[in-house]
Parts: sequence; structure tokens; C-alpha cells
Amino acid sequence: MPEYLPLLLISLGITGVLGLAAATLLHVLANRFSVETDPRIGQVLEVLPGINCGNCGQPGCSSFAETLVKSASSGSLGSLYCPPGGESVMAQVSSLLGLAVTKREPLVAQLRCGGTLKTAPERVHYEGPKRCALAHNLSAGGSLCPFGCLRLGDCVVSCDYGALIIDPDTGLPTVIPDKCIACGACVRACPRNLFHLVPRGRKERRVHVACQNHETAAVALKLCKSACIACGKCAAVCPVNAITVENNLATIDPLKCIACGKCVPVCPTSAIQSTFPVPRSSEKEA
Amino acid sequence: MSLLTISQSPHLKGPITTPKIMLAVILALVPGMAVQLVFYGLAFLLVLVQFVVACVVVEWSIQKFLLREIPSVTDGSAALTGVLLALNVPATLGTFPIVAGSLVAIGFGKMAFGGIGRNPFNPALVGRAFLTASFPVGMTQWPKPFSLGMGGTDVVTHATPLTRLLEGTQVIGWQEKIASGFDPLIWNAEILAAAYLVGALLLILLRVIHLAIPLSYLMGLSLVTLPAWLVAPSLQDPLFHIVNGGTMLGAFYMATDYSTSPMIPRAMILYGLLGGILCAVIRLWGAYPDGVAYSILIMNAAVPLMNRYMQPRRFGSQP
Amino acid sequence: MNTLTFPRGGIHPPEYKLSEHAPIENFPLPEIAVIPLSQHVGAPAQCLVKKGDKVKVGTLLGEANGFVSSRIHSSVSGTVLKIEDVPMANAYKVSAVFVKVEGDVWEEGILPGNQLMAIGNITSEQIIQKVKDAGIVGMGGATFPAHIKLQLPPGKKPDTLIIDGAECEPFLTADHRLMLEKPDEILRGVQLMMRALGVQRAIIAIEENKQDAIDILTARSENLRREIAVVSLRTKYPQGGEKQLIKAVLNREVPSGKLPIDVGCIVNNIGTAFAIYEAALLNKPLFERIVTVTGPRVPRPGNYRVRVGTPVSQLLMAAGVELDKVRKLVAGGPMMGKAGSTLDFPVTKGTSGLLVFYDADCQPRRVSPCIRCARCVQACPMGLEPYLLEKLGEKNRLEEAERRGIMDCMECGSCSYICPADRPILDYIRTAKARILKIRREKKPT
Repeated sequence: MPEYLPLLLISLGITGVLGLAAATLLHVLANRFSVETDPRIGQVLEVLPGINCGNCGQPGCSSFAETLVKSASSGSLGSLYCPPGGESVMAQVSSLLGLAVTKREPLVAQLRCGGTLKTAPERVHYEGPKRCALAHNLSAGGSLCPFGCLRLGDCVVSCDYGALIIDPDTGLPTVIPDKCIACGACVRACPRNLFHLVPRGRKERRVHVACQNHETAAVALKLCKSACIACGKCAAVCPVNAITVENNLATIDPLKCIACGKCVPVCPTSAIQSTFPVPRSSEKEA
Repeated sequence: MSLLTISQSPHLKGPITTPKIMLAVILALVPGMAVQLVFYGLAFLLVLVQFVVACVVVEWSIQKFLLREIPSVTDGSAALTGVLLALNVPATLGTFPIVAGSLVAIGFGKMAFGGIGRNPFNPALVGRAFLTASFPVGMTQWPKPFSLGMGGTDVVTHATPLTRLLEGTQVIGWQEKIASGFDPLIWNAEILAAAYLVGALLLILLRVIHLAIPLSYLMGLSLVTLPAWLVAPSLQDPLFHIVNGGTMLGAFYMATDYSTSPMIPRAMILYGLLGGILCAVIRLWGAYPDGVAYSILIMNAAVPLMNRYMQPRRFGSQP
Repeated sequence: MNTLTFPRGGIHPPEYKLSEHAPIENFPLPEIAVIPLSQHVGAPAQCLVKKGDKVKVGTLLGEANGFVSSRIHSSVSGTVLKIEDVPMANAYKVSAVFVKVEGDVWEEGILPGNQLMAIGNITSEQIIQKVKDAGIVGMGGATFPAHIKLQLPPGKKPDTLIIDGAECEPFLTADHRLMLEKPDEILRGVQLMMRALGVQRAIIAIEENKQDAIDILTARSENLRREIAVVSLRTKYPQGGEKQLIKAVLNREVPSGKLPIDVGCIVNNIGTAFAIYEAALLNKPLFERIVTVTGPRVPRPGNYRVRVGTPVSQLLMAAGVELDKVRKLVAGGPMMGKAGSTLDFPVTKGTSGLLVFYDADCQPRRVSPCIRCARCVQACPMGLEPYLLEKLGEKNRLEEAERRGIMDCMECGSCSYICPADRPILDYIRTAKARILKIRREKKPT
């Protein structure tokens, strides 16, 4: 028998007893203080996107799952909705909880400025951190249009889903509709409130006025060739009266708009943009 | 016509820049380097050049190939780390330890945390601690001044006063030293300390470093060594501890490193005092003689806490 | 005389007082004056004229619109051409009255300024009314309506009036020249303010780099020694900051978030004192001001008495500036002034200086990482930690920034000036402050 055996046995014994005691304690405590959770919360959480965007009004997906289950036990899911998940996710939630869910139109982010590097060129050189919030605070921005896009990309930074990129030709951020989950981060990031969440429309057909300049035509045109000049031609051709011209600016009501595209070619400054090709019938001869 | 520039105020810019600061510290170390050069000849120069080149190359490569950012070695901070490392090691150190030390100092001590300004520990000291642990022989064999010939073949090492202190062997006392007249071999530590002090005065005059840290560091050191000396004279007097073992280099050039020292005078004093006390404790009762290096590294770890909880007094706040 | 200063923080930028020996010149009238209806802090004035109206110098163009607002007067005589939005220095637009200049006919009742008027027995109420009627604002650049500062809130009683003649901004010399050329008028203005406020003591504080101004004001106030004192301040930026000035002169500290009146004093600018003299004793509304036109490469830096509404490009040309070489135009001083987006905005009541930089004066910013050298902490006169506030602002951690005192920041720019890494410290702090204020405004109604 080697001389170190008793030592080995003693230490083995001590650690073994200690381990056993700790395990017993853990077991007892775990049973005593365990919290009853509804297993459905976990199931609901499984089907949620898990990106914690906060767009449902809850701080994250798990608390939204809890809210869903809680209101399910009261008999109705009310208007709870997961915007990034959309219809497919809500359908799964519905089948899990056995209750009807509200239907919402899927949304997408949209930039309401068309002031590209060509039509609204840089007129001053901004020196400082490339952040829109800072440039906005300092001055009217590179193009000097006090309403237009600053083209420094705070929205791109804010987008967690890679749905926004700066187009090097125009200088403007471009939304990639397939990636956009309408979380609204860009809406909050833009110091000039140029982003709006709008219904995606049937077959992704959308028309919008890419301008928010409220100045008169002469003033606006001086800084930007693609500014809305509130001429009213679009409102005149609109078959469903979806366009209102107010305060020197035309606005298209996305709920009324049938995306026929008739207003697009009549706009003299091409301020109206569409997601589908519209032939410009009356091109002016050069 | 070029476009008008717009920017936030202020529209004037002060003259101080990061490279100028680093250059000032390197220049302030020139007297110290000159003394080492006289003591150890070309061997020291070789170590110095190797360290500087290694540090700069390591930083450049990490920035270029790993971080994929524009290298910023021109700011001089890597070169400064190299100089400090060279002053921290025996002049007999070989090329392999030098390269390894630079790699650890810059790679692990600095770039791993995101580069200049983000490192919690002084990179040169991280390198030194690594070298002490990995190359204990090379790092503790200090050559005797003037013993290295041009070839540096027969190295005569000597036990430094601090090693003697640790081993309990006899240290040459002040009376003996004074009696021996001005022999640079005997006064080598004092000469080096004086050279560091000259450069440090320049830095203080240029307001590159704040007096609070070195002063409180030396005070903290004396705070422990003075009573210890009075009780047991063999533990040596405070002046011995200030002069020997790189205390001057540590207090004035390494404890004052910007990113690893506190931001406000009050915290600087606390940092210095605690550092000095730690240094004395390590020297008198520790296993290693390098009290300075470890005391500063330990205090470095406390700096983020100090910055968080010790704020400057706000103008108009109630006392 | 010993010099006073505030105890902590501050920087010593080069002074560049290029125009300090250039006497104030009357600037010729423009052909068309563009008079903005918002030249002050607060609500824009309500326009009272319409196209085709004939106006004289001093005719009321806009009535104060609300409590914090100020009147706007015509600076020229002629015909109103139009009322239209014009871009100001920052290219944001405000409504302005365009007046085609015809002759130089002044409203009746405005006395010529070449004789020194006695104060007489004008009452406090009369003075405040005249200041209000004349549309006087803080002339140091803050443009806060002056009459509000003279009306004491109930229960508050100041004991000291401090007149800020520090002019601590580099380059600017408008106040300096005014002190040299109009010392008696300034002293009268100070006395008028003292009477309006009911205080027994006024202190005129001037930086020691303007010894000639200290001397002349000391000499002229010899017989007023019991009420007016002239003190010399150390030349240090931001010596003219309101809170720093009070600390330097009276050693009183305005608590965070409070006003000077809470420590018993009122601070006004030299230019404001002069404007109050003109308003109360000459019945002259505020329609012109002294503007320093300067810059490192400006051929003839100078000080001009300019009518409000004069396009700045004319002033630049008068100083010999080649407009197409201008790389940066700053309205105000180099430390706190605003960079202009055009060369065509009009001079307003708050334009204390026009600072021109050419290409060679503007090195591009080379931002490098913060090395935590603590220079900004040491330079901050408010005892803040700018390096931290910059980080918090960049990361949009506004609550923490508020806890660390970001709202105490007066945007003096000492931190950005001193930073060896050239970091945009103030850029982020300013934006964070704007965001916090916006959130506070949005919260209020609910």
C-alpha cells in the first residue's frame, strides 16, 4: 500500500461529501424556489423572430411572448402584432394559442427625398464626424436644402438588417425591400424625419413623392432640381384623389393610392417615384 | 471656386498633437539612454534598436493585416514602448526575448484592446512582466557597467543592489560610497536616476506629464520604506529605494502613461500613493525585486474604477 | 493692479488681435438691406410692414412676439421690396424684410450721437421700457433680449452689475475699440443699467491684454469711483463666460442650472451698455453694431459700424478679402462662432465679428484615437469630463451624459481646442445636448 493512499482517500472523501451536500442543497432550493412558467411562452418564443427589435411595443421577443400568452389566457390577443414577423409568424402564434390574431398590412421603409448628388449637388464642404445628427445640428447640410437628405447615412448605421445602403451614384440611402422588416429604426435615426413606414402594396407596387420641401417652387428649385414644386399636375391626373397639394408640397395617401402610376410621368421634376416601371409618355423634346 | 467649409466651433486648433507628445517623452528619455549607452556601449544600442524596430513592425503588421485599418505607427507610441522596454531590460538580452517581448507588449498589451488609448495596462510593463516570467535568467543577469567590450564576449554580471537586498547580502552603504570618491561604477544607479530626473523635469515643464503621479508615487514608496528603515536599517533608507531599481523610470515615465493612469489630480494622487506603497511592499517582502513594474501594473487595473467613481468637482456643485 | 481669473480650466489660444488698432469706421449703406425678423433668442418678431411701404431709419418693422422676443427696426430708409425667407449663416431660413435703400432719412426723435447726453432723472421703468422699445439684445453674441435681463424676477435682488469687457475670443476687437472710442457713453450705459436694476455697484471687467481700455475707463470713471470699479482680468479663455466672469470677479459660483441673479449679480456686455445708452438717452433703436472683420490673411482687418441687414460679402470686400479664396467664413469669434454656409447672409444684431480663413489656414481635421491624456478634463472650465461626454454622445447614452453634467457645458470649445488627437469632442456634446433638450420639450406637455 503506497504511503500516499490514505491522503488520497481522505481528500477524495472530503470532496465527495462536500459535493453531495452541495448537490442536495441545490436540489432542495431549486424545488422550493422554482417559478411556474407557462410552457406556451417558450413555444411562442420559438416562433417569434428573436431579433428584439421592440417594434411590437415590448422591450424584446421574450416579453412579447409573455404578453401574448398572458392576454391569451384572458381570451383575446387584441391588437398584438409582430411587425417584422408579419403574417406567417402571427399565423403560427395563432395556431399555438388557438386564438385569432389581427391582420396588418406589411410595411416597408420609404425615403421621401430625391435630392441626388446630381440634382442637389454639394454646395458646402462639411467637416466633422460623418453623422447626420451632427450635420443637421450645424447647418442645412451639403446641398443647403433644409428639408432634404443629408446623405451621411445615420439610417444605414441604424439598420440592423442591411436593408439600407448608400447608392454611390445618388448619394442617397436606398431601401432593399426584401431585407426591410419595417422595424422603424431608420425613422427614428433620421434627424429630418425623411423615412416613413408605408404599406408594401399589392405586388410591391408603390408610388410616392420623394420630397418634403415646403418652400415655394422658385426657392426649392434653386437648391434641388428634383424638388416638388406643387404644380398640382399629379393631383389632377389621379383617378382616386389620393394626392393632396398642401403647403407647397404634394403628398400621396398610400391607403387611397391604387398604384396606377399615372402621376409619375406628369411630374415635371420627376419628384414622384414608383417601384415599378412607368413609361414616360410625354418626354419633352430636347 | 472651392466649396466653403462648415464645421462645428471651435475653429482654432491647439498646437499639441499625439505625435508631438510621444516625441517629447522619447526626447526626455535621451539623457537616460545616453547614460545607458555609456555604461553598456553598443550592446545597449543594439537592444534599443531591436526593441524599437520590433515594436513598430509588430504594431504596423497587426494594424495592416489583422485589424485591416490604416496603420498609425507614425504617432510614435509604438516606438516609445520600444524605448521603454529597452530601458527595462539588461543590455545583454538576446534577440529572441526581444522579439517575443515586443510581440507580447504591443500585441497583447495594446492592440488586443483596440490600440492606442484603449489598453488598460502599460504595454511596456506587460512586455517586461512577460519577459521576467519567461526568461528569468536573461532578465536578472544585469551586466556590470563598463564590462561589455565592443564584442561583448565575456559578460560580467553583478547582483544589483535590489537583488542583494532580496538575498539579504550586504549592500554598499552611503558612507562607503562617499568614501570611495566619484567612481561611476559605484554611483551608476544614482547617475542613471539623475538622468531620468532631468528628462522628467523637461516633461513637467512642457506639461506633458502631471507632477501628481510621480510625486505621490515616490511619497508612497517613502511612506513604507522610512518606518521600515527606522525599525530595521538593513531594509535600506527611502533614498536608496528611490534611486535603485528603475523607480525613477517607473514613477516619471511609466506610471504617468496616459491611458493607464487616472484623469483627475485627486485620483492621480491616490493612484500614485497606492502604487508607491505596493512597490515598497513587493520589494521588502515580495519574491521578485521588480516592485515598480508590478505595482504599476496592479494600479493600472484600478484606474477604470477610479475614473468611474472619482469625478472632477463640477463648477457650481454644492460642496 | 492684480489680475483676476477663474480658478480651474481654460486655455490660452493665440490672441490674433489683428484689428485692435483699426479705428471704428462707418460702413457705407448697402443698396438693399435684408433685415431678418429673427435676430434674437426667442420667437421671431411679428412683421408690421408690407411690400411698397416707405420706411425710415429706425422705423419699427417687427413687433416683439411673446415674452422672449425682441423688436426689429429698419436700419435704412427706403421702400420695402418684399418679405421673404432668406438663408442665415447656417443656411436655415428665416423671414426677412428687403428694403431698397433711398437716402438716409432717420425717424424723428433720434438724437445724433456726437454729443454726450446727461442721464437726468429717468426712472427704472422708463429705462426698461426704452430698452424694450429699442429692441436691444445681448451684444456679446448670445442675443438674449436685454430688457428681460433688466426686469428682476420677484424676490430676487442683485447687488452687483458686472460688465463684460473681457472679449476673450481671439481675433475679435469690436468691444475693445468701442471702449477706447466711447468710454463715456459706456459708463453712462452702465449707470443706466444700475439704475434700472437698483444696484449700487458695477464692476467693469477687462482682460489685461487691453491695458489701454482699462486705463481709459479707469480715468473716465474717476469721479464715479464709489459705484463703478474697473478690474483687470488675466488673459485666458473663456474669461468672458458668464459663470467664469462672476467667479473671477466676485468669487461666487453660480450653481448648476441656476442664473447669475441667484448669486446676486447680473452680467451684461460692453456693447449692450453702449446700446442701452443710445436707446435711453438718444432714443435710438438697435439697428447698427460694431463688426470686426478679420482673419489671418485678411489684407485690411478692421472694425466697422454696420447697419443690420448689410450683406456680409460687402464687408469682406471692404476688408480686401478675395471672395473666391475664402475657404471658411465664421460669424463670431473662432472659439464659439458659427461657420457660414454662404457668403451672402446679412449682418444681424449678434454679428460681433466676421472671421475669414483661406485655404492655407484650414488644415483638415486628422482625428485619431483618444489617448486619455486628460487635457480636456483639465481645460474644462465647468469641471466636466469632455472625453467621456463625447463617447456618451456618440453612443447616444443620453441619461448617463446628463448624470455626468452634460447640460452644464457652455460649449466654449476648450476641450476640442486642446485635444491632441483632434477629436470632435464638442461636435458630439453639442448634438447630445440638442437631443436632450428635444426630449425634454417632447416630454413637457404630457
